[in-house]
Amino acid sequence: MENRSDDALLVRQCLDGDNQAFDRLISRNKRQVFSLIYRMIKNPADAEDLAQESFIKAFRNLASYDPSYPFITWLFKIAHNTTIDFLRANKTTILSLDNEESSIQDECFDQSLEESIDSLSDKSMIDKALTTLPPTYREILILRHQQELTYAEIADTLDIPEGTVKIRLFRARNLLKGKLLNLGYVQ
Amino acid sequence: MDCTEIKINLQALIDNILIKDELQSVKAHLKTCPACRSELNALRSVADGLAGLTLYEPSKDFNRTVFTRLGLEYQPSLFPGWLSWSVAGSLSLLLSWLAAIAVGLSLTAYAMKPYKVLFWLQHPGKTISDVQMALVKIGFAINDTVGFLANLLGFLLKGSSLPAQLAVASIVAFAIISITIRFLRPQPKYH
Repeated sequence: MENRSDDALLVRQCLDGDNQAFDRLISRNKRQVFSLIYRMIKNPADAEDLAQESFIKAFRNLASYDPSYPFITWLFKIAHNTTIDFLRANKTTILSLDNEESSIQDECFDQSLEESIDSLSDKSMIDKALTTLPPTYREILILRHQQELTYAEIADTLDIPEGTVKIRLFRARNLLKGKLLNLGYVQ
Repeated sequence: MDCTEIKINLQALIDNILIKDELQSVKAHLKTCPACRSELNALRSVADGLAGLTLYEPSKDFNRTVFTRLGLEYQPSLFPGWLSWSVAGSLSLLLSWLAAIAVGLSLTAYAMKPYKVLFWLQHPGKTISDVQMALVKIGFAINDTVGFLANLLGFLLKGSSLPAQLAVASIVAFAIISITIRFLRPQPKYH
C-alpha cells in the first residue's frame, strides 16, 4: 500500500495549482479504483469510464477532501457512488440483503463457474467465485481484504454503520467460503 | 462458548477485532474443537485468497483521458521519480558549491583596499597580472572556505557514529533538494 500521507501532500499541491501532482495522484491510485469498479461491474470499458469519472469528480471536489482521512478511502467513496448510480441506471439488481443466497440476476456475469473449474488457477477461481456474489458483497470483500480498509473506513466509504459493515462482511465471507468449499478450493 | 458463538467470533478473529477475553475464549475452544479449527482455516484461505487478488491495470491513456475530460493540458512527467530526485540532488550540490564560492569571494573582496581599483584603471598591464594573481588567491580562498566548512562539520560530528553522520548528511541534502524542487517546479497551464 502506498504511503497515504504522500497522497495528502499531493492533494495540497493540486490545490496549489500543480497539475502534475494530480497526475501522480491518479497514477498512484488508478489501479485500486479501476480494480474495485471492474470487479463490481465486470465490463472493462465501462469500468474504465467510471474510474475516470471518479477521478474527475475527485478533482472537482478536492477542496472538500478532509486530509485527516486517507485519500484512497475518499476516492473509493466517490467510486462506490458512481458505480452504484451506473448500476441503477442500467437497471441492474444491486443487492437485496434478504435474498443474498439467490443467484445474481445480472446478465453480465459468468454463471458457469463449475464448468470451467479444471482450467482455473486459484486466483482466477476466487475471482470467478467472487463474480457470483452480489456486487455489494464483492465490493465489501475487496475493500476489506484487498484494500485492507478498517471497518470504520469501509463504513465511511459505503456510508453505512459499522455494525452493518460487520454483518455484511460476515455474510459475504460465508457465502464466498461456501462456494469455494463446493469447488474444493478450501477444505 | 459453544460452536455457534465461536463461529461468529472466528470472523472477528480474522479481522483482529476481538478483545482480549474473547480472544482467549476462542483460542481455548479451538484447541479442543477440530470442526471450528477447520472453519477458521477455511475463512483464512478465503481471506488470503482475496488479499492476493490481481490489481487490474487500466489503459495506458487513462491519465491523459482524465485530463482531457477535465479540459486541462496533460503534461506527464518526462523522467521517472528516481531520476528527477537524482537531478535535483545534483543541482542542489552544485548550488551549494556555488554558494560556498560566493561566500569565499565576499570574504576576499572585503579584504581588498579601495585605492587599488584606481591604480588598476591607470595601469592595465599591471592590472592583468594582478587579476591573475587575484584569481589564484580567490581559488585558494575558496579552497580554504570549503576546508573550513568541512572542518566545522567534522568538528560538530566528531565522535559520532557513521549512522549519525549519514543521518545529518541526509537531512541536509533533503532540505536542499526540497527547496530546490520548490523553486524549479514548472508552473501548470490551464486551457
